Amino acid sequence: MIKRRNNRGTRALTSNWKDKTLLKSKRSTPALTSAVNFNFCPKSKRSQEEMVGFAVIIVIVAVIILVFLGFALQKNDNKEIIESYEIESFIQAMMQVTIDYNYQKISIRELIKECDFYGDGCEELKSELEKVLEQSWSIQEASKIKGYFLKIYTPDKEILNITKGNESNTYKGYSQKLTEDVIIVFQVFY
Amino acid sequence: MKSKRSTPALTSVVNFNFCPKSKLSQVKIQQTAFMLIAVTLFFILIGLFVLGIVYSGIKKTAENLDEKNVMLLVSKLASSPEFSCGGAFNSGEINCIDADKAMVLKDKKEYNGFWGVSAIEIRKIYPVNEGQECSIENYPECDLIKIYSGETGQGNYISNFVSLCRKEKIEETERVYDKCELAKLLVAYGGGE
Repeated sequence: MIKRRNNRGTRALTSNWKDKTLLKSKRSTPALTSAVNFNFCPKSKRSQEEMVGFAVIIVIVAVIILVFLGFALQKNDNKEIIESYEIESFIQAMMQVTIDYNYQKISIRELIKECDFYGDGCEELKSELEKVLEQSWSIQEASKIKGYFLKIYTPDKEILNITKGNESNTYKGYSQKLTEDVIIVFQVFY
Repeated sequence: MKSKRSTPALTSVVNFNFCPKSKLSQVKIQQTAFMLIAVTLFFILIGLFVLGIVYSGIKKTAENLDEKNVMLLVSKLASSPEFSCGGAFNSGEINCIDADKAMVLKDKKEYNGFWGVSAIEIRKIYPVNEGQECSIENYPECDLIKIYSGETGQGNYISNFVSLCRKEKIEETERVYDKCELAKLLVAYGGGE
């Protein structure tokens, strides 16, 4: 197999040369020949091992990059559709809205008291609140708000109840005491 | 034999004769050099990639901080002396903006950039008129008071409900009463302050 003698004047590319050179190589890093094979010398088992090693390194690096990407591109979008302070502010602002009632200019807060104490103006109150809610929290197909619920009550009776849209498991709500007895509860579903 | 060429042959620059021992070691050195260059380039690329991602994370964090600041601002702005109703309306309610103060503040150049946001607007929600922007000529029959808007006028808006109050007079009786309407206070951030 090994060619010991050669009649050629110039040195031939023989396995003898391979034995003396490539087999002696003790490279720890993969040689370029494993990636780009110039085919200058006969293939050996060593070069195949280097190729496999290089491929393993590439696979490991690719996996690390993928894992890193997975963490990096993870969405941390914690933005709420509705914030709690919006609901609280809405109730407080709504109470101050001035409306016409019996040729008087009174606030919704006063009309609620009127409705609670004397039973007057409850229809007007409901109508006004429906309009205010309609303008403030629009429930449409494209809207993220699915529905809302407003309840005004005392321990003895329910003064008003307005519900629109659908209820869902995610909601923001707020309750406030208007007087000693009157409580307002408002919830928005999204 | 000596070569008589004036320019060196290609074989003397890049010797393709790999097999002799001394030449082979040169090839090995070349291979190592190429490999090192390739590995260095590879890690540089990875570094750039990682930097890109980290930088985008910092940008996102900055935006979140901006957003939180604006949220805090929007929930407190109505209580600031420049906007608040104080004791002038009803019984000193919170989340109440004096519409007259807002109209005066509208053209105050001194306040540009005072709150560190892109824009501050007050939009009436109920009852609504024709959606016109407020000016001295059409006030109070208008719906939008632009307190301040940055150069670009763009950005992300964060809103809060407020009551927009002013003093009104009933013509027949000459009686002055508090007229409060439901409005949204809009504060924009991130659009070139």
